[in-house]
Amino acid sequence: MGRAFVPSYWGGADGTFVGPDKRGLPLTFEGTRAAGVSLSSGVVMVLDDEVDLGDVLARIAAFFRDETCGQCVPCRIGTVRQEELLARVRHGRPIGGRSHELALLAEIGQVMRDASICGLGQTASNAIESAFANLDPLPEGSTKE
Amino acid sequence: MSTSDPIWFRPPPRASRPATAPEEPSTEQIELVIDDRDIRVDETSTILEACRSVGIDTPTLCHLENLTPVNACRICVVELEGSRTLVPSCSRRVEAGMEIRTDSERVRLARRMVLEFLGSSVDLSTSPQAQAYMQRYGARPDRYGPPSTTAPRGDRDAREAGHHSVPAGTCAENVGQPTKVDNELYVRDPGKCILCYKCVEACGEDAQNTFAIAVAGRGFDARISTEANVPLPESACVFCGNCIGVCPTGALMFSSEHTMREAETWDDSRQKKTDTICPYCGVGCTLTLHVQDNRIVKVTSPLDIEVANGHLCIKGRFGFKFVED
Repeated sequence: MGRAFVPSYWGGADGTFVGPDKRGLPLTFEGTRAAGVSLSSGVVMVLDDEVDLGDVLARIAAFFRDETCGQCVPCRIGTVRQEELLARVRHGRPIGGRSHELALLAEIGQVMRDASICGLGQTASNAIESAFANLDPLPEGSTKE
Repeated sequence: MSTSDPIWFRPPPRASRPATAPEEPSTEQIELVIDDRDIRVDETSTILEACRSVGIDTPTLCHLENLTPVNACRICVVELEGSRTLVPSCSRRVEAGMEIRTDSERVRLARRMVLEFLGSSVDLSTSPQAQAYMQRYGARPDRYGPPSTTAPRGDRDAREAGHHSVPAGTCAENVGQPTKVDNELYVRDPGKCILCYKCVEACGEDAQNTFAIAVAGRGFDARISTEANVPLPESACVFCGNCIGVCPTGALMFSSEHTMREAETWDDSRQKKTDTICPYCGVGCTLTLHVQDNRIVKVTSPLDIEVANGHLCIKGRFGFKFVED
């Protein structure tokens, strides 16, 4: 019994979510680079329609919050604010509406990418930002309480 | 004395030329571009020093002239042509041909977000510097939701690295916890700490070499702690007060100042600062006495005087009671 192939997740916790349209993406440096996908550790996780993408994203956000060493401000606090933002969107209590939250997520991602000391903070928002950009992980009205 | 004396009794021959002091190591001037201006600075400067030399006001929180840069707060970041990320100006040395932007959209966003992150998680009420920066960059720390409740005493100190409770998305977690008063000289308020590492450096290699405090824990739960979190009097602390001298947010404070602030009698505008020399030992550190209503309420030391570079010992910092007796 085949299930619908929905998204795949490339490169581990700091990787990139892609939609079903990227089904033929070659697992090479050149192929992933051309598609704007990070190869990172090289792992590819294929998810089917039974997986709650919101759970996966929450797990990734929690992972980065647990893993940040806390030395620099963007990563120490950015990973916390990112996880809280995701929880707000997920539980249907966004501040100022979903689009407002996504704009805030982009700013949190940018300061972590631009100003964190090391690669952990610089890539801590990749997965979540790419999921919102390429998929529709937590559609409006799909609140979980 | 004659030439028949053994060689060790004969004076050495006269020098043919007078001895000279060794030459100063020469530092070269290099050229770089900051905000479209051509600048010549010493090659040993940091980008921050280069910016300041031409009057570009770059914000800093974890930087202090008498401490080694740790570039942890990331508020001084600037945009460097050719660099993937922004670079911390406080610690990055200048290089010939650098092209730097200090006020680009990217730089302003990073600085604003750093301030919003700090403002939404730390009590900055006794940090006028941070508040001024927040105003300058338009930071709005309230947009992350209402602050979480203050953690009960001991809760944050007991947290395990790599574990946290999953947020419900109802509030923005902060680092608030009750103040720690375990001695007569200092009050520690971890809820005001931005983890700039200045106190750790002043206690350790950069000044006192006592190593009584360090960062414990990890991530958002990281905090400044004594060894095994023992009270200060039981730790290696020698109460020099250099940690208080460098704290930018009032997380470390003189008990006298803390008491007066609690009673709302602390008033910067009514204080007079007078420089004098410490009366105790022969080192001759400069003391700045902060006097309010004819009473010494605080003692600091100027950073730019080489005798102590802003650091003092327990006597100079706290031993002024005899003046009033």
